[in-house]
Amino acid sequence: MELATQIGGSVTDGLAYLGELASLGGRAAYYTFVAPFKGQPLRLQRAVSQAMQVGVLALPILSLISFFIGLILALQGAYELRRFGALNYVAGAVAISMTRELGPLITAIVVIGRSGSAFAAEIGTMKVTEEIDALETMAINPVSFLVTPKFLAMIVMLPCLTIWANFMGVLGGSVFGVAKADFTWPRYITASLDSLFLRDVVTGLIKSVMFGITVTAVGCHEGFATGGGAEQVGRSTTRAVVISLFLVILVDLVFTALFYFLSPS
Amino acid sequence: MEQGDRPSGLETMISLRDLRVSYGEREILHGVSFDVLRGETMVILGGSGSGKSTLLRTLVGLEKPSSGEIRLKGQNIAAISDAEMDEIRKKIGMSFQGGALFGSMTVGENVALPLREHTKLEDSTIKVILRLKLEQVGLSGFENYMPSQLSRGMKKRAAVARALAMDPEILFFDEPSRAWTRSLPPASTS
Repeated sequence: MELATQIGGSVTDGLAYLGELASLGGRAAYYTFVAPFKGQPLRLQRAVSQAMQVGVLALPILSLISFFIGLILALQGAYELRRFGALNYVAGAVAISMTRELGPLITAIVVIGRSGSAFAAEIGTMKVTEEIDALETMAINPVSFLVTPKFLAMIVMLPCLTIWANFMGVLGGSVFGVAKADFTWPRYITASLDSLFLRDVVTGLIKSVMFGITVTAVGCHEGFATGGGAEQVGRSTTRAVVISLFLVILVDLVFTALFYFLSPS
Repeated sequence: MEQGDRPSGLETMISLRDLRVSYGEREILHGVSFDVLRGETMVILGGSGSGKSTLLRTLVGLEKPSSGEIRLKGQNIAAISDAEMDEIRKKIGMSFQGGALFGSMTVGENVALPLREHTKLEDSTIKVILRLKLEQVGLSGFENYMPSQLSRGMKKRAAVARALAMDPEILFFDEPSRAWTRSLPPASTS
């Protein structure tokens, strides 16, 4: 009975947490897409600065990881495909896997580690040092000032990073394709592109936007929820990363299922 | 709280009636009442944990009272919307205990922030006001310094300059003298 109570309590707490995230995401979306038409600032300069941090500075690590993932996919795929004499399908397998799933997911994971944690740490530190309170006493909405630039940066940069990750993954796979599967570079790229439908790319990009919103909401929420002291900032940062990872996978599951059931048979 | 003879006819800027603030079951402020007239300076002294910061935070709307009335310039802030509270906040300034300067902005950007957010002043005008405010607190020439490059006393003075940026009608200071007097010559503190 106690176990059932605990499970029920956890479920209720989880739903309440999702509600808080939705509320924060909704307010950020309002200040991004609606408030500028009512005379409120969009804070583009801060958004561009955030986009540099979130996107441009993530390119080196994302490039390496995506390249290696593409190569690993090609190796693992070839392991089975060669039994059927179908090594020529490696290019398509890597391209579809990257664009539909791994490109957006790996990008989100890299961004969680780099930026999701940074959001929580930045806002958490501001909470501890009363900077959030200072914003409120100056009649500056903390969500508009702090969250909106991050939100805008994420929804723009995540799809861009995902496209880059997809490309690097295909490039990684092409190393195996050219070395061991009798492809030439142009033939490999052509085979990759021929295997893709527009919906493969679009579904991946839609997921990447949703991942960006999730990471922003969790990172900022944990920052605002930070208690007093440096130790609590550390806790918030850790929670932001762990919760973001879990929720990104959950969002991935929801949207993958959605696209599956909505796709023409 | 005792208040001596005061001139009549002056506007009441702050008025508290039986203000009570609690954190959970624990009551911090037990029915505080006082008035502050225009031009008056009120100093609240008390031991650690006596509720000074809680009172200050409640006055600027960062804490909600459990009961009682708070009027700033005649408006009961316990019963107004967030938008109305923001309009009142544009007329008050607050300097926090640790300064609460934004670490990613220069001193100049910190002080100019309320002006950039709430006015349509030209950049050149904002720069003039900024220099005046920094001069008032003895920080001329420090516009381009980052908060991390300042001493604690200098941070507090920069925070005061920021609180003064919009020429507020009511100024609140949380622990104004801590760390500040240490940065002044001994003759000044006397």
